[in-house]
Amino acid sequence: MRLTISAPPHIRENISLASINWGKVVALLPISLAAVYFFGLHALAIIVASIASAVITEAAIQIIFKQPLTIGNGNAAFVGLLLALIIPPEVPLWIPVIGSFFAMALVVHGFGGIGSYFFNPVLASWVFLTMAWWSLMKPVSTAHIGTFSDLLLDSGAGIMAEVSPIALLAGVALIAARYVEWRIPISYAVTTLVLATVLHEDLSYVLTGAFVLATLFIVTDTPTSPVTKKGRIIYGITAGVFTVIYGYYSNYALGVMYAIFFANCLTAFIEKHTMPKPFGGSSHGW
Amino acid sequence: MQNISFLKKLPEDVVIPLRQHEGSACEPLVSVGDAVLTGQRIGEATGKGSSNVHASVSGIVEAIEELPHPSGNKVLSIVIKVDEEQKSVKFTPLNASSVNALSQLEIKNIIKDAGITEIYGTPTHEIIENIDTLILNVTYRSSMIAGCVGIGTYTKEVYEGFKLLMKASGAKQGAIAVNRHNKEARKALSNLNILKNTKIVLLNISYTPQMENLLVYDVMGIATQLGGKPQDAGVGVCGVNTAYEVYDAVTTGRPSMYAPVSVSGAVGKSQSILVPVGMRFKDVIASCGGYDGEPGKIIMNGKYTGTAQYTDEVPVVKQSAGILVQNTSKVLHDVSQPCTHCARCVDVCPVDIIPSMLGAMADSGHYEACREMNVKNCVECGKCAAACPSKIHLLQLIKYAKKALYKGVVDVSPKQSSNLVLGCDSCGGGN
Repeated sequence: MRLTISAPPHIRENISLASINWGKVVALLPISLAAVYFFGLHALAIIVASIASAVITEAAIQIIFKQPLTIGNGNAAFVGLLLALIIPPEVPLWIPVIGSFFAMALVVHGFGGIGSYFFNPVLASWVFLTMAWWSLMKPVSTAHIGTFSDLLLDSGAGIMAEVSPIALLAGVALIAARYVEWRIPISYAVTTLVLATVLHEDLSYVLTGAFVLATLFIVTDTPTSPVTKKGRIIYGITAGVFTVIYGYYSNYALGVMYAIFFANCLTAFIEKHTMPKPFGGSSHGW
Repeated sequence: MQNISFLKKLPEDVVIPLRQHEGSACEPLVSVGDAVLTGQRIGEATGKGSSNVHASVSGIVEAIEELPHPSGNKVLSIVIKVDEEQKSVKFTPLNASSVNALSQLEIKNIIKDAGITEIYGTPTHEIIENIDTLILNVTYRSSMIAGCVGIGTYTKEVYEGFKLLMKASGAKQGAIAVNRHNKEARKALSNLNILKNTKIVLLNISYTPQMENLLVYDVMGIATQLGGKPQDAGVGVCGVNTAYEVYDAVTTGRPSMYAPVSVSGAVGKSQSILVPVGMRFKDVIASCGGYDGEPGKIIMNGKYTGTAQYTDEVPVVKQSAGILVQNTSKVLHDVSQPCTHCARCVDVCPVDIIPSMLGAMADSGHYEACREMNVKNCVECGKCAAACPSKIHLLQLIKYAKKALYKGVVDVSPKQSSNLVLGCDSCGGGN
């Protein structure tokens, strides 16, 4: 009889990096289908190009630097898909290819791979693309939820994710399945909506697909948000305040992206100042 | 709640380790070839943290040698070949009035002589020393006899034992900590005539024996110093099984020599069974229908914090409460991946520390940073490691950091396994 000896615990929850990442990809499928339905095959080409570029970039980096290949855990596919959804559907195909390359090569692997980067790779890449090719990245129209049917299919969608806020609600299932933690999305959404209401903003410009996507998929990115319980709530509030400031003076579709990008800068600061206190008193001997 | 079953047939021999407590090993009182009776004292306590060991069967002493112990070390043990007749020492039972007449010192001596220890290895007579409050921990569901048969069956005995412990310790007040969700225990306790100085406290979670400091904090509001024990604050915590054993020892005169063990996992019939201390794991498993499939791991005391055994020759000791058998297909072979700061470990932690950061710091040898992040608060419940999607061995890393800090002030002997010496103590056990 051969017995294994190992440290406890001897059972683990049935959850892994791969299941979380692929779960997020699956939750983004409805909005992807809606985007392809609305914008046509060019949208599909953008999605495919973006995912392929992200996966190939990661594989190439890991092969060149002789690291274990981790494209199977779905992180690259998720980054590629998310990037495709926040760029306008009219861009030439080289835009998502460069964007995904930038996200994976510079933002993810440049800072040490999954878990080590401090800017959300999708947002950093989006900021880079917007700065570099503003004329191409500028949405041709502004999303506006005028009637109920706009929630289902928004004809004013400027970026792919704005097509259908309803289809994005698949992300709520991730929270229910505890793949995504609830503190950040709730505090972010509540802060944004309350502040916007206080400032007499027209909520039909706030509650667009970009905001729903940000709430459920972007602001919840774990490496770029604090780990402490209090810190996560403060982070959500911070991102919400930034969103409303940007949206108040400009527009909300761009506002959510920049706001969360700025909030990323404050993550370490928030984390450091919300460390939980020990329940015990001073130290005892050792 | 399942019932406890009793052994139908004694094994051919039993192995009684002379170290079933946290202190140093007992002095053997018998030599090879001697005949021993059930209940006879065969090991004499040798100072602090040590408690007497008794024969759980009658027979002939076959050998006294270093043999495997479930904590992972080899321990001097007495092997007894079981005889046919099973003669017992004459115990002196006490009736209710003579129990009432016992003085504080007399009860204490009975507890000490009977060799009663807590599940984590501290002798009970040391727990009740110099305290003014005694807490009975009923929240821990697998706390031996109560976990096996439900406290409902033995409420009276457990409470009488608790009263005896109160008297022996001279504690001014007592508390019975119950999990709010344990309806059976709540109902059983509400039918009791509780003394005025004793309170029933309802709590939201279950407290394992390692979580005593947290239990004291939640019950009394007293924050024990980091790395300290409840006794530092004048509080003693005892388990349900201890209280039962104290009652048993005082009223019947029997010493601590049986362990209720719940056997589960890949065995023929999962059940709770009362076995004599010293019965080998393989004999216990055989009496529960044997292995079901190819065993890959045998774990003593729980899947979250228990110790994996390197052989099934190890004996049941006073601290054994459960034996879990996993088939080879169930044994985990996870490879750690980088942390993604998902904070699932933070959300399950009962003492509000940041396991992911502690793990990273311990992994890179920054033990002082771990100390600053209150690593000593960790109660080693194992929930963080079980919840981690990256499969990082958080519990092991945190234990390693604690050990490293501890080694700064105390010399720790290396751990022995069957054929290898491990530098760390993080595979469980610790005794």
